[in-house]
Amino acid sequence: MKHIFYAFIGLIVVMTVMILGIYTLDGVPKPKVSENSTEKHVVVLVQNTKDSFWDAFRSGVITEAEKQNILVEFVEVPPFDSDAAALAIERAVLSKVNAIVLQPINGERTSSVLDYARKSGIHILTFENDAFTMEGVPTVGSNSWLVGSTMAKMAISTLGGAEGRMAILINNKESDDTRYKSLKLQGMLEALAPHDEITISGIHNVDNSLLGVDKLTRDILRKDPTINVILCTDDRGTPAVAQAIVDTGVVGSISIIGFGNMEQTMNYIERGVIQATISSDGAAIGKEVITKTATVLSGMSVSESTSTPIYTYTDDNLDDFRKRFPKGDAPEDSQ
Amino acid sequence: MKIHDLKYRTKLIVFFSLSLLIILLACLYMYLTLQRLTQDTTDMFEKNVVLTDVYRKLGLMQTDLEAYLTTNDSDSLLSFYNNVNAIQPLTRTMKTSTISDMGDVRLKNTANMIENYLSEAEKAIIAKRGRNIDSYTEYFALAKRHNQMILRYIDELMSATLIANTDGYSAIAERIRLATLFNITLTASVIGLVMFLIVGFSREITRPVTELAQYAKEITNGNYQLDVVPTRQSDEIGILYDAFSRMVSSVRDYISTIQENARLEASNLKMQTALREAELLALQSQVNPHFIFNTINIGARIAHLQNDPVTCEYLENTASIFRYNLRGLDTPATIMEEIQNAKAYLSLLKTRFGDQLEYAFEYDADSIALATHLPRMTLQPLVENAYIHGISGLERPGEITIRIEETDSHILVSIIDNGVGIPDATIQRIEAEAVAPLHHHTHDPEHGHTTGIGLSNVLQRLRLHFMTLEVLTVVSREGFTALTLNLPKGVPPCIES
Repeated sequence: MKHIFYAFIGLIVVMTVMILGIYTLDGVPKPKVSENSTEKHVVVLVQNTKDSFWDAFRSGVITEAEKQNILVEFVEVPPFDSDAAALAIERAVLSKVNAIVLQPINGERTSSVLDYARKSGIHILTFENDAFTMEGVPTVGSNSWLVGSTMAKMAISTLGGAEGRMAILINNKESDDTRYKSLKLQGMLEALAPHDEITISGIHNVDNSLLGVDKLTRDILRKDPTINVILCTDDRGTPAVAQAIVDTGVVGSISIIGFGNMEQTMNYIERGVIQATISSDGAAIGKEVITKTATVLSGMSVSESTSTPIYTYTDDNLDDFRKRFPKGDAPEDSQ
Repeated sequence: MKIHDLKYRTKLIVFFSLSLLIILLACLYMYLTLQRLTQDTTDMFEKNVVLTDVYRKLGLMQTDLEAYLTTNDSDSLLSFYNNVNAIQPLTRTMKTSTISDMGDVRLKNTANMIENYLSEAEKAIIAKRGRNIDSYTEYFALAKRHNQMILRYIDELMSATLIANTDGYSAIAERIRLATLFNITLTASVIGLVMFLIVGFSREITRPVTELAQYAKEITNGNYQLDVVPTRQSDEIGILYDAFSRMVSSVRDYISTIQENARLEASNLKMQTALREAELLALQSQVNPHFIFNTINIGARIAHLQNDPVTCEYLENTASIFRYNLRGLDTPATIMEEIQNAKAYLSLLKTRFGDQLEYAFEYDADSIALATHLPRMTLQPLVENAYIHGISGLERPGEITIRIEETDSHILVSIIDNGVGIPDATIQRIEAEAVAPLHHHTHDPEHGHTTGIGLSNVLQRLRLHFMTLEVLTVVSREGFTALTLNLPKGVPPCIES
């Protein structure tokens, strides 16, 4: 008899635990937000592309935002689309956010809307475009001159003292931003200056179209078959250049020094098509920009410019990259 | 207090309460899971409902604003403000709701945008009232632009929400499916388990009762040697067990006592029977009736030879009586034979007492009733009683008459004397014994002086023979006593046991 009653009691306990468990279960999975969000609302404009730089950047932003108790809203805009960026900024202004963080592409178009935002009392911070300067707007990112210089040094190293015929592809974001182009280019030119054996066949603008980069590369090679090194400062254009080299069958005879750490770029390095790539530290940029944002929102001043590390990846240290960014392990999208 | 110490009613109440509680908990669980899922579903579309309402109102507001600014239509202005009043609670809700996801963040953005729009619209209206064309034109353009921006934002937001809800709905649908499956399993399991426990509990409850019933059945079948196994329960069943066990023990002891007493009684009876048998054998061994009969016959012959007819007749009557007795009480005799025997006896008495005794027989010698059988030695004891108790003490001569009469159904054999009569108490005793059941017969105080057969024995044998209780009628007074035997006709002769 007592066993029967014990069974009853046990059943009641189990049922009670199950009922209590209902209130501890998660409901429908919802997008992750900063758990400690308060009234500090920051809009961060990001590209709606899927690559390791932006994944790392988002990850750095989210991690730091949780520490700083800031609600971060990621707004995706197409790469180098100033109209979309301006619209997103204007929406953010109307939404009465506390701060806007963005990577400015077109200085004039963006400046006017950012000015409007600042007049509305919204703090502005930029990242990864040290050519864009606006008074009172702090910026975080890699040093463009250093990027250009490092790329050139990698090209020199690849040639190994041999004569070089170099083509330089500069990413052109809609219209001329000579100051921007100049920083990287200046770095390149200054690094190449002591090396007379290396000549520059041309400096070309790449647009936003990958097919355009492919066509441009073929045209360059067709017009100047002596080119044996190509420098590409555009992260999306770098793998396109590599593919054009592969398609034209000149792998091994032309060295490519690229920019960015897209997965395709890394694969080309592994295959020996691309010799090196210079990469920014997206996570460090994201972390640093949010740190500065929190400082600004608290009423304190920050330095105008903060540089973040850059990394050079070749076939020799590709494992380091894999460790930092394992395949398929992109940071969770907070949107 | 242990469980088996509880009263039966308490156990039942507790058991049913627990069963009910389990079923209620199962139902509660199912209700809560479904409610949670329903809430999730509701939450999914709650934002869309608000956004849809806001979307519509914004469109209407812009239309009304444009109509007022271009046509100065007061109805449009009124409609505009009505929509403003309607939308402001929504925007307050959107701004103050707890932010749990990006959807809530965008709702808050939408609310802030709407506030900006309303601000610009208000400025346009004010400028219109102030007839400041440039100003209200500028503000209207800004308001229009912002209105379109907000509507686009809401469009994107609802699209994003719809996509998220689609994923969420898939998750909810899966959860509903799993919850349904789990609930069905839970229901079946709970029902099965509770039924199992019910069967187990009922078995536990009824087992002692069943065992007790089995014990009772054994008792009914006469098995008093069974051993009632005590139960651990101290409730009503325990009390029943204890009482039943003691009852069985008492019955067993009582039966043993009865059996012992019966055995002792049987033993005593056997002993007495054996003693009587021994006495009888002893008596029989002492007296050989045939020797006595022969002796008497020789005496009669000697008397005849010596020309002594009185002695010869006396001895012949004695031999006749003796011979009659030798035939055994278990052999029925006819009435005629009884009469002859009674005559011989009366002749002996006459020889002894002479004129003090007169006797007569009144009967139809041709009557077939005389062939009726009755137990041997019926008349002689009665005649003897009539002489001993009736006329032996008389100073005058006594008369004994034996009369045989016949009716349609009976043969009446009367023994009549003119003696002192029978006392009423004796008559009542005789009459009571005449109709009393056989086992009520008292011990006959008059064994019979010569035959050893008393009146009770005669009556008992007559009743057994004729299978009727009423065999004797007594009429007595001073100088007249008549004992009448009422013998039914048509009774076949039987051997007395």
